[in-house]
Amino acid sequence: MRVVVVGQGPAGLLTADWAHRLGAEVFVAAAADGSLALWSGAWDFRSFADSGEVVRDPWQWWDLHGRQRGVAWNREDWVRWWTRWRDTWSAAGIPLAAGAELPSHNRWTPTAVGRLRPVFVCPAWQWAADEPEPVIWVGLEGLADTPIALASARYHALTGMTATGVCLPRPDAWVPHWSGLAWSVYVDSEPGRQWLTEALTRALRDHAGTSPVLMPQMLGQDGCETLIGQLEAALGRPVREYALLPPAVGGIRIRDRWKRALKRRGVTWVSGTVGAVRKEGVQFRDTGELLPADAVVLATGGILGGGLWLSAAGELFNTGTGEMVPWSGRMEDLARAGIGTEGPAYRAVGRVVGGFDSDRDGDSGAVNLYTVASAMEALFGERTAGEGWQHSEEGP
Amino acid sequence: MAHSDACLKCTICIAACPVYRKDGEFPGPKALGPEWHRRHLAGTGDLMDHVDDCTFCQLCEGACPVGVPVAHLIAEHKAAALPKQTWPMRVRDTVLTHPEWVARAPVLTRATALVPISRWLKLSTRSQRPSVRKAPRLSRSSRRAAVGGGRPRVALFVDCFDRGFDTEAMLAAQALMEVFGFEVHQVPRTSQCCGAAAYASGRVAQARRQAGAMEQAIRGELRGDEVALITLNATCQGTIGEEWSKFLGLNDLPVPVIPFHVFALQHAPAGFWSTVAAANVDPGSWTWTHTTCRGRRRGDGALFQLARRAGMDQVEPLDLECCGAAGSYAFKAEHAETAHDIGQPAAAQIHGRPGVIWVDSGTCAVHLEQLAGRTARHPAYWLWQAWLTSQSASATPPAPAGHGEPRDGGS
Repeated sequence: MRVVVVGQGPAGLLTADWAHRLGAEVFVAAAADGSLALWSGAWDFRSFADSGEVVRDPWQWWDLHGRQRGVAWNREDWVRWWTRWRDTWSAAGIPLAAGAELPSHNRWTPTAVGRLRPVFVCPAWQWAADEPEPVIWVGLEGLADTPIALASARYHALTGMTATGVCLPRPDAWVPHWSGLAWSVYVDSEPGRQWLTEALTRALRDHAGTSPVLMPQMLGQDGCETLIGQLEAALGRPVREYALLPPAVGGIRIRDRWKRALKRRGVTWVSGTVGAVRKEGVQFRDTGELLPADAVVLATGGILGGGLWLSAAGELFNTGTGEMVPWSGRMEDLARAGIGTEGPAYRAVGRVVGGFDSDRDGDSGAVNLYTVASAMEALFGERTAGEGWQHSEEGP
Repeated sequence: MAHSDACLKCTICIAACPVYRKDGEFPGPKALGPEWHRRHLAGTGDLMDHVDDCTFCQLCEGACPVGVPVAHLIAEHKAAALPKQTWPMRVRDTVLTHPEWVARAPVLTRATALVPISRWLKLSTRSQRPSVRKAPRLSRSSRRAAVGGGRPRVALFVDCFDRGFDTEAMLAAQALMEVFGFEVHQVPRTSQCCGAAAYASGRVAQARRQAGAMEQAIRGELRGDEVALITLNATCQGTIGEEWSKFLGLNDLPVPVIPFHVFALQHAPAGFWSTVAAANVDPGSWTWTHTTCRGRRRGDGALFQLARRAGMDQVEPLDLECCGAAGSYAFKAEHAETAHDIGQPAAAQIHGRPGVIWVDSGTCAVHLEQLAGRTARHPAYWLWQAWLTSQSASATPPAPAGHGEPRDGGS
């Protein structure tokens, strides 16, 4: 079977990966880069109740509310698919913080300004803990996203835990426009690695204990795990990151590793804006060329991802097909607008499906997982239930 | 330019930029392109340092979710900065942006082996120069191509690099397409440039002139019944297929412009692939494929599919979005270090393993060969070698199905 996936955000890459494992010849058609470079890499299950209260046990939340939200899975289904997702990332060289076991409940991960937000799973480089604990909060002079006094004070106020704020003076190589990504490039170099190790060692010399060091997300690209290991050895403490504004180093690591792994397995990328989806394949808007497909999966994103387009007249369109999408016309409903899981010539996955308000509720990981798995079941049937997935030996 | 003021400042272009990820001083595509352009329109757009460090790989533009012509705005910025160039650099860039001159006299590159000349012209003494790989029977093959009758016809675009340095690849592509059952003629007859080199260096007006002259030449030489114009260089492919109409004010050519490897995947008969694959030309060896940055404007993975379909033993894409060569970028002294840093991961990936590199651009091949220490050539060359091996391995080769009889086009 020849599957064309339109879009290369998290839902698109997951669809491409799984369709390939299930034996399809896979093409990814994309007009632009996906959203991974804008996002730290955390996967939410369900973080907030409708009331806005934090959800500690997302398994239970889905047990209680799933069916009424149109999600037909029981706990076993969730375990099966979360496990496959975890194995998929692991095969692509993306390590998860929770280790081998799926978390039994949401954990806490910090924002750049010292708040904690619930998260289900995130990559191993990002700090996530079961309960708040004393931390060393590190900022960088010259990196605007790390207001260290504010972050450490707020963390202490919100959790009652000590947060020792440490600001590292900038290195000689520093340039005013450096984003977290530029910092990560610097610490990937030998001088940068040395600078960071020395600066951190000096800054923490007078601080006893083994509480974790929270660094801004800039600890290198492909060398990230090595650098973290070296810093931990030098400091005698765990070292983890907190997420920053984009360009998001965590998401860029994930994007690069995942795409490399998929390309090594033979997934093909075709650039272009898909303007129409037909039974025989997708048609590109600029060239009119047809990319033939037995099945098309739209993973084009919601209103922010570009899968939906709101005209000045208030009409909503599916950008992949040009068709109008019915919606109430009320702005508060826009986040939930979508095209459903299925059209005349396609399946849909991720945010473009609609029906969820993932930014408010913190369920984007669950929505991706559920919609992509449902598309796989629809396309591949029984095969998805078996153990016959091609687990690639190839790493990143 | 359409969408030139659509930037949302999302930073996705920065996350796609190969220079930003190697050079801490480089401000990145967002600052040099759309942000500068807004100030420029307002009359406050001071020229920024490092604008010339952009390779014009256009990965930023391919990544942009709202279609901002990021790289082309940076080219405008480069154009505005041209008066700041020293005159040896102007001399150098005049030559480098006229690859059609170099193609007529590739021997010129030997002069740059003299270090004082290279130093004076600010040419890199570090980056390897292309060596000339002349095919002995190009003219004969061209003649044979012209005598076929009743076969579908394609035009093969002769780019400056292949004309000057690698007629072997050109011949191989022509011969293969004849084996596929097509009649092939080469355009343009005289050495001309599509404008790519000048555009990359910010010489936008010159690019327009060069492109216009070449467009006239090609139109004059097309016979009107060609199935496609086939290119062997991803940069020329992008310039002719996309930039001519979008940025250089020209009309689309009356035929689709298609890279050779895409054409081969679409049109080579099944029998060709089974014959080549059965020959098992590289047991125990690796084939690394690299789709150049400009080739990625069409996608990535077709080269990989090509090598697999040809039955190469172990195929692996290089983990590079851009190799750093970027046409003449790596030949400029001020860019050599960045160019080499960008391509360096290829050496680490290949390390210690035997094999060859398939890459859809001549200058990228030169650069990758230097960095990785493995022979890097155009896929047409490798595919032709595999076909020749398959023919000598079997006295009575199975006939490829499809258009006409199989034909050995050149050896």
